[in-house]
Amino acid sequence: MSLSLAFLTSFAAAPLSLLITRLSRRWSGGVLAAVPAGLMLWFASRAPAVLRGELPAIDMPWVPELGLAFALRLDGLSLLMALLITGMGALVFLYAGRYLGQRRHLSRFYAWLFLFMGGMLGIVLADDALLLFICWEVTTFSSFILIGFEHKEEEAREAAQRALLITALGGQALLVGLVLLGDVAGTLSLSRMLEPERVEQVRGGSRYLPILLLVLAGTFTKSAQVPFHTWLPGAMTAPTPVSAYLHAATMVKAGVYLLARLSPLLGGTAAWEWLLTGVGAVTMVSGALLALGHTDFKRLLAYATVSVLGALVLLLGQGTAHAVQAMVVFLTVHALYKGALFLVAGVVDHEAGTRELPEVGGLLRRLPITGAAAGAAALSMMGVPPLFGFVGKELVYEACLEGPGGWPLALTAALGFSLMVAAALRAGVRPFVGGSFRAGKPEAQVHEAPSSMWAGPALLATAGLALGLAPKALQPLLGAAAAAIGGAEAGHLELKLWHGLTPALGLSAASLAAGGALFAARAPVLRGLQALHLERWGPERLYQASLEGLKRLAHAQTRVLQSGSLRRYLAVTLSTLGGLLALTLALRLRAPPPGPPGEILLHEAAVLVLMLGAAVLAVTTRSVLTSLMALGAVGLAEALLYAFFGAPDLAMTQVVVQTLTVILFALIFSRFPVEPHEERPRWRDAPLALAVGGLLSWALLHVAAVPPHTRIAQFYATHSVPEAHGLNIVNVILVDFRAFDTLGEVTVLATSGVGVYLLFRTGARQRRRT
Amino acid sequence: MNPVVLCTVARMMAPVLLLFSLVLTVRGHDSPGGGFVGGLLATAAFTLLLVAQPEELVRRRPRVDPTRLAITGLLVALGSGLPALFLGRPFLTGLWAQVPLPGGGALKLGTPQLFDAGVYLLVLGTAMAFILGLLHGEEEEAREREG
Amino acid sequence: MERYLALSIGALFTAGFYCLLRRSTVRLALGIVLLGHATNLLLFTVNGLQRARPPLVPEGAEAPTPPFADPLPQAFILTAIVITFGLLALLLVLVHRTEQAVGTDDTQALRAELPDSER
Repeated sequence: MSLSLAFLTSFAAAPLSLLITRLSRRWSGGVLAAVPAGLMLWFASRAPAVLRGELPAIDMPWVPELGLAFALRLDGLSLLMALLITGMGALVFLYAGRYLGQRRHLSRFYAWLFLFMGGMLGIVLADDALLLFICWEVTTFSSFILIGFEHKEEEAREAAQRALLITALGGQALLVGLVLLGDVAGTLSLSRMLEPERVEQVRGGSRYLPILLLVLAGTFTKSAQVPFHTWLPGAMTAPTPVSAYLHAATMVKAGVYLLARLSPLLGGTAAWEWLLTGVGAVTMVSGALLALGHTDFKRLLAYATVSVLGALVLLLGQGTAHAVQAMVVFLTVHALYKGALFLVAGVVDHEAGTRELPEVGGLLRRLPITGAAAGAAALSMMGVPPLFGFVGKELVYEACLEGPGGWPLALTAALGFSLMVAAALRAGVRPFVGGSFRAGKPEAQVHEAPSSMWAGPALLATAGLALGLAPKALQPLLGAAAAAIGGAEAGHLELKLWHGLTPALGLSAASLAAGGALFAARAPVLRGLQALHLERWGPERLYQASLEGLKRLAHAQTRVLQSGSLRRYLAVTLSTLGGLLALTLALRLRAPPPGPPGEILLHEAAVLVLMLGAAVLAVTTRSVLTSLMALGAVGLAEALLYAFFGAPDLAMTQVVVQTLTVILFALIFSRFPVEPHEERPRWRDAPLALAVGGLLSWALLHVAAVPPHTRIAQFYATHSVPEAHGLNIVNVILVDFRAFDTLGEVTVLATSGVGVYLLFRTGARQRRRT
Repeated sequence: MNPVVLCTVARMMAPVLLLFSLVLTVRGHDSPGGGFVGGLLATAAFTLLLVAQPEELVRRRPRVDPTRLAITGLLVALGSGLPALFLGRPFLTGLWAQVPLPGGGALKLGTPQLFDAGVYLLVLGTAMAFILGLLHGEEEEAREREG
Repeated sequence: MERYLALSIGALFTAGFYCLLRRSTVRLALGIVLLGHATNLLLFTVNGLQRARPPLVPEGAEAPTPPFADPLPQAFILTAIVITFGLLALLLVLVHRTEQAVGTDDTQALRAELPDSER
């Protein structure tokens, strides 16, 4: 089984889900979970090779003209992410089978989930920037579909649209950034971009800042950084397994992943450090603050996720070896506990029938296993020893203290963590141990969820506990991941529960105490926060206003451009043509074309006068018959001109066509009410027509001043007898040299004939029916 | 003009025009003319007959459906490009042969002439579809008004 | 001569555009015919005019004796004439059928036939 097969498996599994769901809805989740589980085992089996430094990779040309390659590479970071994606994937499939068992479109749900998983694996495995972008968009789109899965609900549609607008716009920026990056670096291969001389080129180049800003626009929107975070809480309208999988454990980390991937290339500059640290810190604190203020279980968790994503970005901004290590560890910690808590939220919703935190209480008696898992996950989120969360948090504090941010940054992080502690207590502990049950459903009817639903949270929470007690187990893998970002120095990772009496421990204890105090005094704090309506400020306003503006613009544009009036369309078209002509003439050619007016023979002048006179008559007369005759005269004058200037073929054709045209018009008018609607002459139209016609004349005068081009004529003249055996060069061009062209044109003609035929036939049939 | 005179003139002129259209098409490769103008001229010839003798039109529908004629022409033009493909040359490459004639001369024949013949049929068919369509439409309408 | 013709072509275009902007679809068809004439003459003039022999090779010769007219625009115009004819026929039949179905040839009135949402 090769790397590309592992990547493509989930795409192949998408149609499979349709079949499995038809066979058994009840067992479909468990059966389909075997796919990600198998993938996880395969990735785990690659671990020894990757840890030894033998990185599996493939590189096949895909669209060489675009520089697009199908290139995959599995290094430490990719492996860590791939294990998270497939491991969480297995639990989520298992869970979803029961959670959504009775819903319609279950098979579709699985299919989109598989598609997402394939895209997500593609992001972390891709070694080609464009391939990565394609997979990036696959996840954006499947996320859009999954958020809007309950598409009959207004709220879900609105949330899906918002997520798509924000992340897809960011995706466009990312695409431009990646293309620019590939241009400057001279390669689209992510691993080859890291060659020292290419890094020099990128960082020293004048396009560094635009590239950085574009890439940040893409990654910040995907990873829900302030001010682009507003889509993530809305995404909670998705079914809970989706929230746990896409919007906590994996997809929102894609932005962080890409930043980590590119940090050796783009990182280490002042702009990088300030932007990432600043945005990360603001996101971390405001996310935690918003989380604390919410009563909806999933929304609280979503804002907490925003906060953690901010912390991860902040650490990447610091960029030291320790910061990179802390980032990798904290990312893993978060995936474990947040995945567990989301699944718990789903269980509570499923069993108690509400997601409102104040309505539930004392659930531990009713949901013992779920409650225990929730407690363990919440403790990990708080960073209580001996859980894995504690290990991660210690590393974050250490990295902040050691890095360029120093104490101010560490205190900011402590503020964020204190708020998170309080949020974790509200979400993971209080519903189960304290308070009272006030939901609509009688408490006695609340039962423990089926095993396939509690298995996920229990497993994840146990992992959080086990890894806290024995952090060495993951040390090689996390070290390899850190090494993939920060080089060998970051690879020397040492995970331990007890670091000694350090400032970090002090901060840890302080944040726990502050968080606990905040939780104890939560009633006034909550009231205060809710009164502020924080989430409606700033970015939310901006988003709503710009969406409204866009709609209004679209309406206005449609009103102006799609008026339904043919004349207005034509007027707009003509004005555009005239405007562009005038612009070109004004920019390119200021002087009128010089030279003598040229000679004109008497008979030519006579024909021109006849033609113009006939044209004027055709336009101005009120009688259709007169204008028809005038039209014929114009055509005949044209034929004469062709005859004067060496084009007998054209002259003949023109005469015959003119005759047939007049016959056609005559046939039509023989039963048409003549001039039914001719209104008064409209003086607005005449100047427009005159202006555009005059500009065309003007342009043609310039063209006439250019000496004729004779090379092509010469080619046809000298080749038509020897190669095409014809004396009439015009005909030779039509049927031999450019026969393919002619074939196309006669096909157009035949099509119009068929069109006329059909119009009459349907007309006859309709009349017969009535 | 007297309808009788018109009718007589039309009857005399139409075959001449038709013959001329064929000459124009066949000679088109070497002198002014060709499939386009030939097809149009043939249409003019038929139209002349139709306009001069409307009762003919009522009595006898044309034996050949003009749309079918147009499609045939298109197929002939397409087919003229195929021989070159069989010889491994690009589609529509002209191929020529000299056929000796009794009396010393030689007739040159080539696929471009076939192509031109296809154009002739196609233009004739399409233009006749326009004319006949309008004429028949009128006729049907007239019948409706009566019945 | 090209200069005089350039002005005449502009005048033909003006006449054609003016017809296009009328309300009557019959005028619209007239305008299209005029535009066809103007465009064909434009193609004819663009590369210079020659009061010269047609581009025919004399019997037995290998190439025409200069001066001869440029054959390429002629080939273009020949097909353009015929295609304009086809377009016109289709347009006339459409006008005719529309008139039969709606009872008007006024584009403003046709607009009123649209459902409100499409106006």
